[in-house]
Amino acid sequence: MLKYILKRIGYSILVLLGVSLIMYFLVRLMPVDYIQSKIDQMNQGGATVQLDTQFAMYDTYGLDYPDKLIQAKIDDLTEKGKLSEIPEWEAMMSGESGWAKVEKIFKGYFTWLGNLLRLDLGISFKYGVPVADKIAQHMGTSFMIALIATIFEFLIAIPLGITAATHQYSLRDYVVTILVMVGISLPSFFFGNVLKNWLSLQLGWFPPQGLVDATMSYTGVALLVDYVKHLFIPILTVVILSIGARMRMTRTNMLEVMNSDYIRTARAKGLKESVVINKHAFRNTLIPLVTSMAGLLPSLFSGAIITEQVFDLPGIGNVALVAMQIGDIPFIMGYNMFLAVLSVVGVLFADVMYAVVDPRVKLE
Amino acid sequence: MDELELKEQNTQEVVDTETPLDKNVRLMSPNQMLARRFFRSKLSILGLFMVVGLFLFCFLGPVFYTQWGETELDKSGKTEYATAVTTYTVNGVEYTLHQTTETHLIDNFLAAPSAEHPLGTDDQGYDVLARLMYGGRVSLLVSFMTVILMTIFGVIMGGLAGYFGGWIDNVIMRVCDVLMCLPGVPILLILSSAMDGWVSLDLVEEEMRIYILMFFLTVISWTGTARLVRGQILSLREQEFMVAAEAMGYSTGRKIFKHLIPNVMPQLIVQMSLSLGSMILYEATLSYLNMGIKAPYTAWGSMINIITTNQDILQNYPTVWVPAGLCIVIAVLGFNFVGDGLRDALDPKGRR
Amino acid sequence: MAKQNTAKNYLSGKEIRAIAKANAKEMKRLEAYKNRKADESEFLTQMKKQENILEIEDLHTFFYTEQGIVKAVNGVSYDVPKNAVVGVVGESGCGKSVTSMSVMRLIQGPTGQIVDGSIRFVSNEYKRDEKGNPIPKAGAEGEYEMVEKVYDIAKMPINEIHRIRGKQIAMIFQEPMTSLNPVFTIGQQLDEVTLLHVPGATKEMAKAKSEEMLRLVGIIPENVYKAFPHELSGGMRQRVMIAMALAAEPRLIIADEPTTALDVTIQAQILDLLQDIKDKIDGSILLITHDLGVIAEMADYVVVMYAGKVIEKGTVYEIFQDPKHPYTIGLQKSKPTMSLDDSTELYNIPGNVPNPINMPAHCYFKERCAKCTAKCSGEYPGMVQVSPTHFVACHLYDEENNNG
Repeated sequence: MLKYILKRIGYSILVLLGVSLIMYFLVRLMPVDYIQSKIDQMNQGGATVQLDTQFAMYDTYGLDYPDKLIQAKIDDLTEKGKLSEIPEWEAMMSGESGWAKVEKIFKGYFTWLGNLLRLDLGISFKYGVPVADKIAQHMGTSFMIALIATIFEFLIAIPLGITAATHQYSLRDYVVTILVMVGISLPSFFFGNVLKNWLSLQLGWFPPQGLVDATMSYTGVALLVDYVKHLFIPILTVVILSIGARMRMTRTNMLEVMNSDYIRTARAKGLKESVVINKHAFRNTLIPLVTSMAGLLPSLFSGAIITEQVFDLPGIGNVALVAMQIGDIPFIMGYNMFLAVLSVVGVLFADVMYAVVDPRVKLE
Repeated sequence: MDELELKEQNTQEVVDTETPLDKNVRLMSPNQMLARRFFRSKLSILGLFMVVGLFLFCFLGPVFYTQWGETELDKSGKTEYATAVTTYTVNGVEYTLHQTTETHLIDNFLAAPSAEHPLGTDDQGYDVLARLMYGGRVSLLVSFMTVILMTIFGVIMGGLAGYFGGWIDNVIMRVCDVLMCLPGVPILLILSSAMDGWVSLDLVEEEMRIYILMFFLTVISWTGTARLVRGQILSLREQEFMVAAEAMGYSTGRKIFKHLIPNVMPQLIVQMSLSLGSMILYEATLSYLNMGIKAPYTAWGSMINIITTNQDILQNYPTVWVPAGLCIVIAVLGFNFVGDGLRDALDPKGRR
Repeated sequence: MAKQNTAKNYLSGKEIRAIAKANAKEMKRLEAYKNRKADESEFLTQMKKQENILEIEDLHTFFYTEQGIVKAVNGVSYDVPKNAVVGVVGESGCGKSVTSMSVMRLIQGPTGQIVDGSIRFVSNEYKRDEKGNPIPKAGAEGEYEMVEKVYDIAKMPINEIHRIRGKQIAMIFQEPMTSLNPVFTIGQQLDEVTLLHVPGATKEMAKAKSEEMLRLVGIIPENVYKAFPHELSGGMRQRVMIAMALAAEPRLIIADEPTTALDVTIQAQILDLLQDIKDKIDGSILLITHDLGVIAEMADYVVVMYAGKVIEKGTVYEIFQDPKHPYTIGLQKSKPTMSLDDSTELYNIPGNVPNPINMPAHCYFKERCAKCTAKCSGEYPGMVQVSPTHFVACHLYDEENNNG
């Protein structure tokens, strides 16, 4: 068992290396240059940013100088007649050659990887704090929403799935199936906005956005009530959207189990139908459910990007969305690697759980 | 279990014409059986109606609804009135001044539904109904192309891995593992930003960005299909009819196309129709985040994008964004219903 | 041409819809009947013969498929006397398993339904007071007053069936590999039976009983009690199934092809075990098999089924020494025997069991029968009594009956 897990961890690290390489290349493809947009902003403000200051800014963020900037420097040097310094700068130009660019990206990747091994994810351009700190700071909110939503999801979906399966082709089955399918088919941004518009903007029952009422300073129970008020619609949205898939899964498994020979044996023993369902069938239905629960691990921490955006919640998803739109390289890399690690761990965890729940499975 | 035995006999007896008794037994043809299973569920029929209806709406709709084009602004003008009330006191007497400002605007934006604009106009002055039709074309086309491309790619990769095995299988499956760990939406967001740059550098055309984006989506999402095909081929290879084909000395191509592919087809069709739903959702989400097609062109998701910045529209002009959302829901729901019905019809294990 | 031919053999869309509509109506009616709430008096009845423990009379069990109604059991009648072994024999698909499943009411609805007929069974159960608690026997610790009731199982609502299952009638299934719940230990599954059926049973009592049963079927309990089903071989699992069936000391055990899924050496062991148990228990066994050898060895009475009907029944001696029905004769000829003579080729009854949808009105065996006469195209032959215990459904014996 231990050997198996170690082997899996080793393999997971290889997968993660592949993921990080792809991700780094993609991120570096982004022409959104954070420094450039910052400089543009400062220029718009009326100031003129000196060339040397610009170089210094690239240095602080650990980025390569863009060709355009180097060219400007060379032009500047030519103007000033300091021709001797030009070759040194020219050498820094990547030129149009694709290989030089790729080489640069590789160099950057290994620097990033080296820092990662020292557990340093770098400092976020946008937020100016270490990426790890920023993720940790906002994970709590996302985790809380996801955890509560997941609990409700399981509490509602499993009984619904079982009753739909045990009353297959009945009216109950149809109603549950239709509701569930509608849930699966709703786009989160649309449904979230509909709920927000209806329950908070039209009816005024709940605040439309944020996590706390900024105009008040609640403490204790009042603060808790305020949290509940703010999180009610977002959690409702997440639950309704996710319940469908879980219910379908329960129903399918339950149907499969109910048709198996050992259920017939249980019935032949003289057990009441409720015992057959709740003891013999349910234990077997639990196997894939528990496995899937382990697979939920990433989604507990990763944050629901769209839902957080709709309700303007300070969760990790929302923060990442902003970072991705402006090209905050360290944060994007950090966040996405965090997601990748979670999903790898989730798969591993699911395998281990599978062996725990199903006596037939032995990890080898 | 006896029932099963009986059913198996039925299928045998179709071929067996020797026994006189069977001449008076008439069964369903395989196609009839499929159709029967598919249409038994009223939801599949409903789904079919929804999908066909949306296609007619988007592709034939503009033929009949010609008042407004996709990028045609309503320039009929609009007058806005603003009233200001000022109170002031002169010599102890209180006066109230009602001041009304009349503003003439060129574009008739945010018009209420009328005969002219059945669903009103949006914040720019575009006709919502017309945009709904043209936007739907984009959403549906993009999703279809993505799914078809994804399936072709997945079948090829899965087929290679499953058929040849060995190191080819190993490489393809490891690539799958890595791709499956890539977080979908974030990757698309990053790619979309990259696209912004390429558009500004004139490397790609604006209208093409959504197609390129969805192409990247296929690049990262073929893994599911590939695994399905590979798994099927691995299990089919072990079965008697493949052993028989081997013994008959059939060529590789014949084995793959005559024997393996038809056997994987049912599951592929089911997967395709279910993926269509999720692809529409993907495309809509990207458009909603303004990462998809850009103005003046539109897609269903893009039509909802406005409410992220304008709460007034969210609250007071539901005709601008709700129809697009409903279209997305209908499309996804329709494909899911159809996919579900197909799964019930094609999966021999699923029958009662 | 060929295309037309095949098309002729297929149903038209109109017919398919008509079948579906009629089926839906019937299934709904029968499901409602099955799930109804009924007073005990509605399904209490009397046995026709006192020496019987089970009487199946004119049983019809149908499957409502999309292709039409499959009459899997079509008017079956046979009796199981007390303390006897009755063997039911027939080709696969002849309805012998469906009959036994009907007795246990394990037919999968809504497609499968008992449509008509009665299944009378003498149940020996605890006498219960108004609250439903068993009444202890005066003077005997751990024993309770018993009462005999005759139920018509076919008319019982499904939620009353737990009175019969397990405690009165136990069943051993064909597939030992999949018939045990994979997530519970053997011990848990065995204990469950005792805990369910013995009033006031404790965990320790149940464990003791389970271990006793395991020993009875030739298993050392220490090795197996805590094991999971997947850790046992098929033969072992079938022994566990038998132990489970015996645990509640039922009056009737239905063994539905108990050896079919096992390999030959294990088959012999299980048969020996059943033989052994037959003498030890105070009850009857209904043994369903397609293996004539098993029947000859174990059974007192034999019922031969063909295409959902009983075609011949009698004592084991009568069926084996003096088979009457051409099908029974053919069945016995097709049994392999040890012979050094190469010329005796294994006999083979020509043709197949007819398709059970749209059965003809005449004898179902007509097309395969060597002794078929003009009368065979007429109506289906009735049961003819050829001896006090021997019955056959064949026109060949009609005259004999008339004369005698």
